[in-house]
Amino acid sequence: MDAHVLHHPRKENFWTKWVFSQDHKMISRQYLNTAVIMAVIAMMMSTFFRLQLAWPGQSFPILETFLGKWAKGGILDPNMYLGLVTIHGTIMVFFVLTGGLSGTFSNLLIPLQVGARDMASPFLNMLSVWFFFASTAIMMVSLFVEAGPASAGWTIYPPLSALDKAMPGSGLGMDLWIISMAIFIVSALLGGLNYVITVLNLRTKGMSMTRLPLTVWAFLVTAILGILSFPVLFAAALLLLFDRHFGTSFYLSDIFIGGAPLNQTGGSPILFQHLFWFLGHPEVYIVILPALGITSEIIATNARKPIFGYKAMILSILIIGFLSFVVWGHHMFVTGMNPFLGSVFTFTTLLVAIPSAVKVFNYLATLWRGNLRFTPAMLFAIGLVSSFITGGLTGLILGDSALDINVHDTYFVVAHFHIVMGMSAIFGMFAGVYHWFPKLYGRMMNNSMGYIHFWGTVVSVYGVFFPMHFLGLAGVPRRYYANTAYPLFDDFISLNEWITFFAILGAIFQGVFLFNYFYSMFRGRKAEQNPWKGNTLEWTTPVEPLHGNWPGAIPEVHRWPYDYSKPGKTDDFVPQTIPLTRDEKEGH
Amino acid sequence: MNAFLILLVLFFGLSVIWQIIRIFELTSILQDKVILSELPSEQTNNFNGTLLFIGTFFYLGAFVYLFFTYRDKLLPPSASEHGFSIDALFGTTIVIISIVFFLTHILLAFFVYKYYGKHGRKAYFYHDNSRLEFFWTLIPTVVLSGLILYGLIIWDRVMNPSDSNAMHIEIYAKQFQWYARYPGADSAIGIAGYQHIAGTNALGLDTNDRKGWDDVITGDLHLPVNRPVLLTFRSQDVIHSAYLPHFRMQMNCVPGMTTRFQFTPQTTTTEMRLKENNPDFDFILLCNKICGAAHYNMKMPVVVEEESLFKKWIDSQAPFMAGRSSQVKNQSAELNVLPTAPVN
Ligand code: HEM
Ligand SMILES: [Cu+2]
Ligand SMILES: [Cu+2]
Repeated sequence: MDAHVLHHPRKENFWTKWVFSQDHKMISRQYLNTAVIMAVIAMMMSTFFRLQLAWPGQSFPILETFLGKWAKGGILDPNMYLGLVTIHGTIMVFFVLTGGLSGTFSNLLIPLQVGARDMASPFLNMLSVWFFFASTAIMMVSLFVEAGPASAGWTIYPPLSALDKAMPGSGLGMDLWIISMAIFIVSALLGGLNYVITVLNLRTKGMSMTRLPLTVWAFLVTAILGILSFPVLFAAALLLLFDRHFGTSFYLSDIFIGGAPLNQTGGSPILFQHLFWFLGHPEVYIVILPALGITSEIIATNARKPIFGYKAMILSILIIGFLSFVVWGHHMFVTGMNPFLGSVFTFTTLLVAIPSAVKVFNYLATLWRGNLRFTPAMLFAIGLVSSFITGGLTGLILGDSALDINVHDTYFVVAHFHIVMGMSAIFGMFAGVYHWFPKLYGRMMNNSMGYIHFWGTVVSVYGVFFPMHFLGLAGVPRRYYANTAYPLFDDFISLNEWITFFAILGAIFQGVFLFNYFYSMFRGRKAEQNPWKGNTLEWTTPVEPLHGNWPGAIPEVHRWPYDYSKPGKTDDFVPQTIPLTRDEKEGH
Repeated sequence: MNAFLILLVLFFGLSVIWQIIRIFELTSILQDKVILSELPSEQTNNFNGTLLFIGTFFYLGAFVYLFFTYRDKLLPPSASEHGFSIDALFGTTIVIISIVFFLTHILLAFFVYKYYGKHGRKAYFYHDNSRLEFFWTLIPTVVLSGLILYGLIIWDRVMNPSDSNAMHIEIYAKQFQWYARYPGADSAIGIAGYQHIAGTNALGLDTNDRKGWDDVITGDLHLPVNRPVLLTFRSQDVIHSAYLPHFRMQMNCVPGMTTRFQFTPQTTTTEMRLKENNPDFDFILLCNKICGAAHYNMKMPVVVEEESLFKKWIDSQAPFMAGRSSQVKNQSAELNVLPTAPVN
């Protein structure tokens, strides 16, 4: 890339440096900090509704403190229960694990690791983060709507979400949800286009596609998935808005509600589900792939060993990406779809297990005979391997149409997606924050606190989500305010209390992380240039980040990023910028 | 105020932890134990590797413990014919899953324990082996092919049952109530549609259709044992889902379309009470698709009984047209402008 474009950066003032920054590293921090705040809010919501689930109908004054009229006398209102669940899910999936994860790490690492001075379009990049911020703000405003926020579940299936007579949350709250999501999608698209173009066009000299770190590969495929699938959700949401306000009937037909027949006919609620899940399934890979990419990098670096099967890893990311577009029907096995179609979706869904298994085996082979350094980042990466296995395996049950009949929409599903998507992606995110904190803030996070955080977190989240499998198999439906009306579920009262205990414990341990994060941001120990002895290009930039990334010319790349513990070298790492010696063969 | 206090306590708690950690670190620096670097020491590696090892086995143990504690509750007892074949498929899948779960976790535990970082040791530079790669692509492929095939055979059998003489019952959902509609003496249920809903005609039966006159509408679901039933589902307002966990049956009720599920109950409520050794046992139909504030309370009692008891019960129910004046009939005849498709 033309080096002198950014060589003399414009004079920065307060606004261009801190608020409307076009520097990808600042934008990355803005994404991360927004996501951290969102995650805290969503986590608090989950502890609130977990209190209700463990001790239904019992009074908790703290609920009234936070929720006011929605928890009169400390008892959570059933409508607000659904509102909390909906907003919790929406925030976690879209704001924390899409905006937060991709936004933070694609922005930070793509230019740094491919050797570019910034994104292809820094301006669009700035717009992307501000659209993101606007969408989170609107979602927060929707919490204060008189009739409550959107409450139809994060999947907002119509007609429930289309008719304000169907539930209080389907009034203004739902409009704000849709508007917030539309703006979020604009942000995701602006970001995604930038990521793809940057990876394809701005790689430094010598950085061929097969010398890219796996992080960048994961971000690239993720961005492509987003570009292809988010517009479909945009369309679905827009049509829903039309049905709500302009009398169209895309999703409505034959409905009698509020004492009168509706005159919108001819639409199909199932159409919405097809459109939603055409985004929705790729979305779960948009959430998990960056986490897997981060894990690959961190495991290799801290095992002091090349990632095993580099090319197989890339291939499996690509195959997973492709398959994610042809499996959406597994969310709809019991909607009355043609059984033959169900068979097709079962077939494609279970195929995803093959590339996923290959990834797991490759991780294991990477650990084998490594020299493992257990930094907090490494621990979270290993935790991800465990949760990805656990959650992936239960996918074999849910993806099998015949078995899904009985477990669809039960707590088995809640257990499955929290482990494979929630836990894995969050672990990936934590790993990323611990590992690249020096590149974010030029300082180190405290390790001891990192260990406390990891051990507290891993025990709590498994304590929360693992037992939910058993609830689900017994038939406990999700999105239930209480199970008290069902003697069938009486055996699970104590298990439910344990789950809530672990949820609160887990929330407390996140306090350790938050403290560590904010404290280290200002007072952490100053980082060295390459604290983890990594090979990739970001560790060749100065500790004090600067606009344009490298003070001099952009370094040239001579080898793949995984020359760790290469025989014949004195150090156990060889940065990508070191030329091959005369008779040295390149890694893979 | 409350919240503020809690935050304050949390803040101070964290500060204390922080100070303790600092003291530990400073003393160990004084004792020259730690080189000033964020790279974990050999001791730290050993400690965390060991913890991971123990932790993993603790995790596997917890799985086994929970599995055996809730073994009887793992899937409620099956009471339908196809339920047993689904349970068999489930069993097979669980066995395969558990094997993989244990194997991979045990490998993970051993690797992190054995290869914790030591000074002066170098990792083994080993990054490709296409034979291995092929091998561990092939094995999942073979196992999954078997699982897919098995699953699809069961799915096909469940969704396309062979008996064509099943008894037709309609399940009708609205916020937040379930109804069952039986065909009556003519064995056929009458035409119904949302535009006919009025007053006590909650299901919207078209009173012009004589087939509907003898239909029986009830608030609980009685099923004769060992006789195939074809359930069709309609909804009045939003999507609901009829979930019968004991029968391994679930189907969405979608406004604007009719869905269906056919199965054969095999165990009566009485038999189940004996088998479960629980005199209060009852089958239940739950709503399993979010449908509003009272979603969690939307249920219908289900009774499976001998054919003779079922006959007695259904004969004691009033047919739809009983007590309805002919005037009502005429009125709705005039109002009936929109044609409706028959339900079946
Ligand atoms: C802080 C720890 C968390 C706890 C204790 C928790 C707990 C729960 C529970 C109990 C439900 C089900 C409520 C119901 O169905 O009635 C739920 C729903 C959900 N959670 Fe979480 N969760 C946590 C973190 C996460 C994370 C990290 C994600 C990211 C993927 C996530 C995504 C979701 C989604 C998508 C739903 C479904 C919302 C819906 O049904 O519409 N959660 N959560
Ligand atoms: Cu999916
Ligand atoms: Cu419901």
